[in-house]
Amino acid sequence: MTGVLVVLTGSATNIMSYTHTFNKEYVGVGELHAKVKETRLKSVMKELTGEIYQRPPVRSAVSRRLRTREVFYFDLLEMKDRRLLFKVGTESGTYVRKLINDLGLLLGTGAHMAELRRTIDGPFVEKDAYSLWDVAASLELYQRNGDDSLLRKVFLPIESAVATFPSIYIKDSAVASVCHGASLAVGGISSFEEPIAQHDIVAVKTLKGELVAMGRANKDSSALAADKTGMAVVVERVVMDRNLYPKMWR
Amino acid sequence: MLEGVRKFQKTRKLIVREESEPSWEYGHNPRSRPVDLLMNLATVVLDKQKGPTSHDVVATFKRLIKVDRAGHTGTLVI
Repeated sequence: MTGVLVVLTGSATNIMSYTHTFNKEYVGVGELHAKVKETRLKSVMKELTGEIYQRPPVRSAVSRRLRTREVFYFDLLEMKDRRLLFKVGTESGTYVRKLINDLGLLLGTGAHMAELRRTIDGPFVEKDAYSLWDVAASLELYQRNGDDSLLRKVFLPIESAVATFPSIYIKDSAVASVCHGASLAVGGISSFEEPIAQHDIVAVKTLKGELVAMGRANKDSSALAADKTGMAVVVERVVMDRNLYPKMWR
Repeated sequence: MLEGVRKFQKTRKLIVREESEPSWEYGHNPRSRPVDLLMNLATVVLDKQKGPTSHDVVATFKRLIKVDRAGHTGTLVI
């Protein structure tokens, strides 16, 4: 399998549990074990969209219990003899190999996956992706000439990895206490992105847009806008260096 | 906006609760964060090739950039 593989470095690894839940898109080649009509194939692919049941394969890292996953779209791009080129958008944790096997079962022909490439992982698409050679070249350029132009294309700020979560921008005076793991009070908020439901995962950021921490909203958008007091966010993972902003509490 | 965000998500609206000005005496704009800080707080989107496992790729990546910690966010299984 090839394609988009998102890697976090240093303290960015603190937020790995959130980025695991990204939606994904794949493009792949499946091979049917007998010929079928294109119209029939398309209608079965349609049946395999929406909420589907899957049991994780024998060789997998999770418990092999039957679970449901959402398939947002499952499109046929091209068909030639028994081979099909497909594109599928799925919820995290969907096994595409299994999906192709199930496609074969439903068609009654049997099928297996021949090739698979991840084209989207959460906020990142194929064209954001660089090879290890590019990584090496970007370091070389920077170390030799102080040229950071490629390095800044390859090494994206951590903030880009949490772009799918709603942001809450906090006042500078609240930053250090959140860095120390304290919950965020509504009074510390300058602005936020709606909609936010209670218990949603949110990105707590400075006014400059730097990620301070990830946490769960304790109130929904309307309460976050109107409430005079109370806890706004329960902080779960701190990312920012606690010494970057001065302590402003007494 | 990143393309993947657009694909899977509706746009959001900014609600201002209280205007506040940032101080530039500390912190950084994420886009111009000093390189040493950036390298220890970054996302790298790798284009994995056929052959080596995701684990191998991350191991090579770590050796290359010499940071303490690095991890991938979802295995590309074979």
